[in-house]
Amino acid sequence: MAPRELSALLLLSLPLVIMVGMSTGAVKIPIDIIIQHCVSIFFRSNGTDLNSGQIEIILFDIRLPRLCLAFLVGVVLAISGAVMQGLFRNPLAAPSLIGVSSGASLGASLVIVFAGAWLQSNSILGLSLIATGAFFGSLFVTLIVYRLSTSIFGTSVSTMLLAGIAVSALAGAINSWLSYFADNEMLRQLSVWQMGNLSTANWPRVFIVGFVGIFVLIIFSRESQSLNALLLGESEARHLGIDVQRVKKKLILLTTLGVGSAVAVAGTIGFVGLVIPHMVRLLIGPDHKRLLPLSALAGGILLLIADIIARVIYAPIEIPPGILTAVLGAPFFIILLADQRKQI
Amino acid sequence: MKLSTLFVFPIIAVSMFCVLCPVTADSNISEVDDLKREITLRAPAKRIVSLAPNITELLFHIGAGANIVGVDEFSNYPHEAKSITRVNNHSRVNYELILSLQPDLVFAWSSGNGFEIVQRLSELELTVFVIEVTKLSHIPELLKKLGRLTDKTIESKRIAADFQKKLRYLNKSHERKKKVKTFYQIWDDPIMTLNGEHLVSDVIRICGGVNIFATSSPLVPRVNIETIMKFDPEVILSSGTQERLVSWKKTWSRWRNITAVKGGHLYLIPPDLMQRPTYRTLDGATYMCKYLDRYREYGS
Repeated sequence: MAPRELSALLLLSLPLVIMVGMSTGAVKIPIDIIIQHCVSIFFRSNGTDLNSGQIEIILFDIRLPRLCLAFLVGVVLAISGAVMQGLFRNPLAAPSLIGVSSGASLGASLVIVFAGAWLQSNSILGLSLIATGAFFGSLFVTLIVYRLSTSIFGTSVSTMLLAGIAVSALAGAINSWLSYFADNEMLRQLSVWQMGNLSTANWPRVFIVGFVGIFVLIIFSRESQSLNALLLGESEARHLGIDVQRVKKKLILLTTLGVGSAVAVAGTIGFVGLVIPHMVRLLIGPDHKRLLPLSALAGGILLLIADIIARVIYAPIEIPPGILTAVLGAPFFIILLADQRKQI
Repeated sequence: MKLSTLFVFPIIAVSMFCVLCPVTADSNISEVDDLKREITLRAPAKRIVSLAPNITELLFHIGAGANIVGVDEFSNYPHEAKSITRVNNHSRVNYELILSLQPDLVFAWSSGNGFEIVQRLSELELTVFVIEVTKLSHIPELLKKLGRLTDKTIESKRIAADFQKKLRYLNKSHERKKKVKTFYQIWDDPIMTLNGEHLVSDVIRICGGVNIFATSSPLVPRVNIETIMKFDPEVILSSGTQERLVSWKKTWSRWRNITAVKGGHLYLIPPDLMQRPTYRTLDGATYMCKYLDRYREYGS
């Protein structure tokens, strides 16, 4: 598939998916009513009676922030995955490999177990204390991994992967250990948090992830040339005039920032970061200039679709979106792999 | 199968039965547990292990508390239960410790402890009696069973009758009242509730309420705010202490188009009174009925 075709396909399906997402849910709202409400939001002309007030709340306070959040989290996860795979030149690299996810879990658990009493009433910018703990946990663990693998000769990719596995294992063990000090309430909090959740999306959360997402997206795109050079190997990239160490440091920090904030607001959602970049690479080739934005778009759309299905498939109840990202994405990925084998 | 074997089997079965009959008639106690298994004790239980806080509480209530030698980590009521040896935590049961306590009866809670634990305990040749309460009306019968197993028959009968009477009163005084659409929240982020299979839903029904998620499929469904808006509950309940009330109400105040929020009908019930099926569940039910009545009286 040509890159142009794929981008056209994704760009066309995005508004479509958003429209479907806006109109489906417990309360059925037809498209024309949605458009009518969008228009009235802009002009603020007619007085709102109670019924249209309810529809407005559902559309703009419940569905829209949730759609935005799902999209942004998907974008950040997928683009970070693409960058990690490029940086480590390893197809299995994903943000979780360098400790982002386990660090986030650890941070969340520490907050739940040791600051339990504070949890109910405190929040910072609409984020709960747990989310804040998760964010700093992921930052902290990744920095340890980074320090461990960096010497005067630069950052060693293989050491970083090993250190990532070791530190993640340690963080995971501390995490399980903590559960023995937790009471009933805390245990439930731990397990629920780890399942991932987009249902309590609100505008402050959207703005946090949106801000981080755009920042990360811009800087990543500017480094796509360096990532391309890194595909040839580190020393080759250095000979091409790229400050490899600086690029690594920057990209690892930004990935942590992006994934850390995504995990903080939505819990751990697997699969998007690992497989979306591979799918896009199989479709359009390894040029990071196109790979990064298209992975971002595809990741956002996948999580959007997954979350829409997650909330309507067993309506009135819903299921964790992580289940659906895998169910939707995995078969498609398998088909692509099988196809590739035939071509060789 | 040979024809002769067909005859031999019933003969053996009948003769075995006759060997056993005098003993059963003598002093054995037989009760059917909630897995529909017949559990037989040679004598009333004197050394009991309880793997669920509500069973511990019920045993204390009928006066068998002194016979409990081991409890699960959440058994915290009554006060005396706190000093009994703990035999498990959320993920593991200490089988060695249970064996060393030499219990003659172990009470387990099937959906809480899991069937694996029941099976392992049975393999260790312990007598396991499994309990699962999903309706308030099961509690009197359960009390009587516990009484027979622990030789507290008289006391347990009295308490069971008392429970029955109070339950009937609650039932009677609410069955003709206006039905109130009720949402019972057990988790905030994501929002979770309980379906019709749960004891809480039974309490809602007794108070003349309708659990808006009664027909949803898992026992503990995840739901979203939009669905709650669609079902538009008239009363929203949750479990918790009063400290939680302010922040919890504040979270809901964003959704003023829900009848319960608009009318201010958001109430908390102490968790141990509602989520554990015990005698005290009646107190929880009384709270619940009072709150639903408050809606009927003041409306939205």
